[in-house]
Amino acid sequence: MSPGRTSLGAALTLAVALTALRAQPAQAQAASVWAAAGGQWVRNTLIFQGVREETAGPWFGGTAELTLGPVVLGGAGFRGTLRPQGSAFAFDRTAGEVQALVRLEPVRWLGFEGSYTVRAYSSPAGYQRWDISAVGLVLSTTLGHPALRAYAKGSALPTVYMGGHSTKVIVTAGQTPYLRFASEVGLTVAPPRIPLLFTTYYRFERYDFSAGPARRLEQLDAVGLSLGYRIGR
Amino acid sequence: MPRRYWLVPIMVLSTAWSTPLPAQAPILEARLARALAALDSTETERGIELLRELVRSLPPDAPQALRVRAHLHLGAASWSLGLGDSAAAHFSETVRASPFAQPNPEIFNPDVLAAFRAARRGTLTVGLRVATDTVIKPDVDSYLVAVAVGRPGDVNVLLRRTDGPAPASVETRLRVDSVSSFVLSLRVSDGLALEPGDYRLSALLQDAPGDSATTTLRITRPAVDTAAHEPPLDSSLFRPEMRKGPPVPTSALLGMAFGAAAAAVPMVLGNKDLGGGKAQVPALSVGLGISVAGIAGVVLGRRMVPIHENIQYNRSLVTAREQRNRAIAEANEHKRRLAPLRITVVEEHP
Repeated sequence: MSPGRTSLGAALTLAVALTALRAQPAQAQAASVWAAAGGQWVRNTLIFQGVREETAGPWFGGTAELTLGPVVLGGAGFRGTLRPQGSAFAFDRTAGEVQALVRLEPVRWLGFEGSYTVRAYSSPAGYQRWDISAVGLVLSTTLGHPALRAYAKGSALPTVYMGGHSTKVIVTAGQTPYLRFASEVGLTVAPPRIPLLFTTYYRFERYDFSAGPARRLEQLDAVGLSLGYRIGR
Repeated sequence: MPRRYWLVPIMVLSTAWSTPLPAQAPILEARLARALAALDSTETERGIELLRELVRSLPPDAPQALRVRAHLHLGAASWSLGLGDSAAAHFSETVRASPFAQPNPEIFNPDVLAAFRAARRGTLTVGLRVATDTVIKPDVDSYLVAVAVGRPGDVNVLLRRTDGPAPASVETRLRVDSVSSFVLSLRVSDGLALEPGDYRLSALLQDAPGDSATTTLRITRPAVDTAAHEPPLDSSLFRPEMRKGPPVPTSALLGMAFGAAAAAVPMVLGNKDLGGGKAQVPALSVGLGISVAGIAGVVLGRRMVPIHENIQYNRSLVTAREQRNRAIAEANEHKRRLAPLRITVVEEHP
């Protein structure tokens, strides 16, 4: 793992968080908490050294967010499996990820988000860990009724570090993709008079590592559903 | 304003004779009757003796009427024996006992009456009489008050409230030679009737302010039959004030835009070697869901629009009811002001 890159990602996330906190007005703001449990169908597509691997499987977990006026602090955790999808070279993998995020919403339709995600895969062939920091922009809008809200998020990934080891060869040097970004589009439904929140979303991540014989192209996309409970205004 | 002066003698007599007698009153009455019987049978000295014993032994709470008769007959008998000073003293005691006392001209001869009048004019005292229990309408009637004095002079009559936060009072001054009655308006300076409560009616001699007569009155207002306010308007009378506005087509456009974005993400951003550039079912399904939500928002998002005509109509209903209730309240208040007052004597201090 490259300590320098990891520190840079953490620093960027912290910078977004501090910016958000400084921007919070002094007066008391509405506070709310919501927590959701959900699942997502995750698909991982990889071309490594000219070999294509595709795995997919369900991940389950939960998310929670604390809203303090225009500032949203949140976290998420998921765990699941990825199974080969017509690929002879792929292994069954177990996967998990945790994420911390902070978002500033100066206006209802616009948000600036920073997050830090740690994702890990484990299989008989070895262990792999990803450290991803993200800085993004969130656009959202109500769809006629206040209960219906669509959002779209695009994130640059300033630091992405992938490393790990195999059962046969110890890999100590991490890799960083030269092209990396993430996107998510979703819909939230918050029925009036009941404190529930339904969310469905599609998220997409792309990582292009250096060209050459050992070229690695990787994508991760997921469709998810969650049901949350909201407390507060 | 009707003058009810003819009520005065009845009122005075009824008050005088209706005074409750103490326990020994029958004995005292019997002694007085024996003394008067002696005087009637020309046993004047014996009668005087019996009367003197009686007045000496009269307790402080002896009936006023008995005390008056005893002193009056003792004075008259003393006068008949030529005991002028003694007669004057007893006549004076008679007046002190009751400034309203008057010898009956059918019983006493004119000389006795003249002697009584002379003694009365030399006695500094004042008395006050009102009906013990009466009901009057403050806007029509006035409260009849009788004042009696020994020596003629000016008398201040003051009616002052003794309870409650508002010290309302009515005051009048009059010249009284012997007995005088007058009407006391039960209105304060602003023309309003006195409020129910406890009052003290006082008569004070101008020449001797320390000599006064006081009566404690209680003024009450019997229940007034007032009209009830209108009940709240039935909700069925009101017209709807809001209606749903027109559909919001922009929500459909936004929904389709976000839905298209979801569907386009893997096509636009995906690596072609990894299947990018093709539609992906997960992305399409989410995009379709967002688009459908946007279309649903066209109907669900119709805002409520106020119907100004109905709002105005409903307000007019409320306003009209409030006006009617205000009129009822004013009429009730008027009734209360005009309602009769009951005035009862609680305590008398001669």
